[in-house]
Amino acid sequence: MKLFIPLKLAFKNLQSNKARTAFSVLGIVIGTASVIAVMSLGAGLKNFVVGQVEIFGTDIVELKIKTPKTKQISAANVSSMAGGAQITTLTLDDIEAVSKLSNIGSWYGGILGQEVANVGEKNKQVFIFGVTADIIKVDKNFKLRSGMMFSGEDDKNLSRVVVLGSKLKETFFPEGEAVGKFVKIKGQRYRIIGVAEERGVSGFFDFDNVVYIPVQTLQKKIMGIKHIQFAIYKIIDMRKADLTLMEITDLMRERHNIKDSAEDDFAVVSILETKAILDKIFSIINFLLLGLVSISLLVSGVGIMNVMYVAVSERTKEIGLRKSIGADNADILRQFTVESIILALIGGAGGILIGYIFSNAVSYVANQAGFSVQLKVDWQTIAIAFSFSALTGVFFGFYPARKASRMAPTESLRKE
Amino acid sequence: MSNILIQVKNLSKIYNEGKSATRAVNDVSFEINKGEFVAIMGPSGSGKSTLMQILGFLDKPTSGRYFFEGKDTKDFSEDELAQIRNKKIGFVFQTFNLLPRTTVYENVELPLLYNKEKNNFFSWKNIFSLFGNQKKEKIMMALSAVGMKHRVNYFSNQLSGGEKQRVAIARALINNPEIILADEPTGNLDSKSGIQVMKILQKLNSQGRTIILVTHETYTAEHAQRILRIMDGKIIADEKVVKIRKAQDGEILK
Repeated sequence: MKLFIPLKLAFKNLQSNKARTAFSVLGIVIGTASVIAVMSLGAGLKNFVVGQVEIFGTDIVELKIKTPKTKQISAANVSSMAGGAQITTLTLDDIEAVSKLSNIGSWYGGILGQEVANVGEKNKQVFIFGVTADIIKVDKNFKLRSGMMFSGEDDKNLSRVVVLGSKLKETFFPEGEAVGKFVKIKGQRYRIIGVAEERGVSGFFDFDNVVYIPVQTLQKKIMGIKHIQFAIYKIIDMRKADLTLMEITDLMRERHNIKDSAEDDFAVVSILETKAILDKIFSIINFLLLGLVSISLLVSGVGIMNVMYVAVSERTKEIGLRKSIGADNADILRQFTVESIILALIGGAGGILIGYIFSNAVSYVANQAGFSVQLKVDWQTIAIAFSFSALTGVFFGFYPARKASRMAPTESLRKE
Repeated sequence: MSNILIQVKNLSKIYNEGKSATRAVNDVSFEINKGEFVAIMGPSGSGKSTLMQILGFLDKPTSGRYFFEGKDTKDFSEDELAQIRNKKIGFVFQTFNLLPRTTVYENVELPLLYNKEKNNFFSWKNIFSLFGNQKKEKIMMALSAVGMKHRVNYFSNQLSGGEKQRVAIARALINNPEIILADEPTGNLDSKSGIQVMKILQKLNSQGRTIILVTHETYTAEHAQRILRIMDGKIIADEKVVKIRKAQDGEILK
């Protein structure tokens, strides 16, 4: 039997029972659409979260303070930090020493403080971000809208210069230039030499509402401290990142005289670890969701089986006739299997379309609401959904088709 | 070469073997030559339909031998039997068995679809047949043989009973079979349409085709050259028809 003939027959038979065809197709449509929706939702959510993590770049390592005897990612560390425990052991000398390690490129370090700033009559409680000048080389999200960045010299000389976050500029100088004007912090005047570009809220911290200041100016002129909180290093060769992490740890223990790793007052964190954890979490979530969704495909498969069984018993006479004029078992098997596969594929195509529309609609709504979530329906998702539905057709169409193919021609012809 | 097309020896078909066994066909032996027009006649329940189904390879005998064109048919596989049904045998049923919601053309085409000779998808023959000129010619020829050319694009359910049966005969003819097996072909028809069907069968026989007709009516059976009378699964008479009835218009088939 030629290839196109079973196709033609199948379409004819499916057409002749439009309502029944439509209902069984609907089951597959819903099943496939939910596969698409769930997969794209999972992927979109993952991209969103990973995107939040990656916002500082993927080729960086962070060295930061930590409460000894706690894990860096632990409730104990977080609560002790939040409780005001001050780890004052990390210094600019430390982070500069680390920066001399072989696999480390540009870097910056700093500390975050809080003060009231005022311009004329306007007062505002602001975050003051004391950083080394190279932040502009390392943090790809930090760019200047106008003016210039302070230099290493400014830092060394404890210059009273600042760069304003974009929202602060709007607060203090809604009209006109800010560069060249002055802001008062703790009673002293600081010259504004630059305004940063808007960068939005990321990691629950609003970088647009901060004052950037040379780290040593902040330490000595405002806060009166000697320590810092963190340093960010660019890794030159990511393939050797693990080794570099170990070197940093060793160097820091040596400098801080730490013998036992439990006593570490610092933590070295690479984004790769965070990403690996996220990947794991999301693949588990995806797996579970797919499991749930496949139940709906299973149900629609049973629907197809039901429809095909009815079709077979309705058409026993036709099967008998076909056999009496020379159809063998394989011909009949093929005819009915092709019918159910077509049912499943039509449903699959419809489901992909609806799933695609759904995903885009969700993306649109989410973006309108201010979340940069992109639900992408990629070819892999489509391939998986499509083969899922085709398999449903083959699997659930096979038994009714086999039943049809094994009917004795006399048996089926006798039936009136 | 022998002129014998069908030879059966001690053929039996037993349903429900065991206590309540029914011998539908009971130790039957006969021969049918090429070009014969034979009627198998008997009351309902006599086993004539079962016999016809065995002769047409729709069913297998419980015991006995069946030689078709000199070959023992018990050696054939299921698929080979399907191909014999396709190429050597044309069935005509009492209830026509046309596919509903399908045109006359497609109904007649049906046996061509199961013709495995064309199965090689990439053969030239197959590729040409996609364009369908040869096939269409064949179908139109079969339809004109039964006088149904003018209904080629009708749907099967738009036809009268007699027309349906004529289309069914065209379908039986399409692969140019050795035998036409007709099981009560006039049973569901009014007498006028019945006569037309018998006329076609006689015409086909006069063109050299072997025809086996199953009927319970003596009058219909007398259109054949020879009558095998069957009763309770046994052949009780095998006689030549002395005065063969000629089916012609105006005659009434009772």
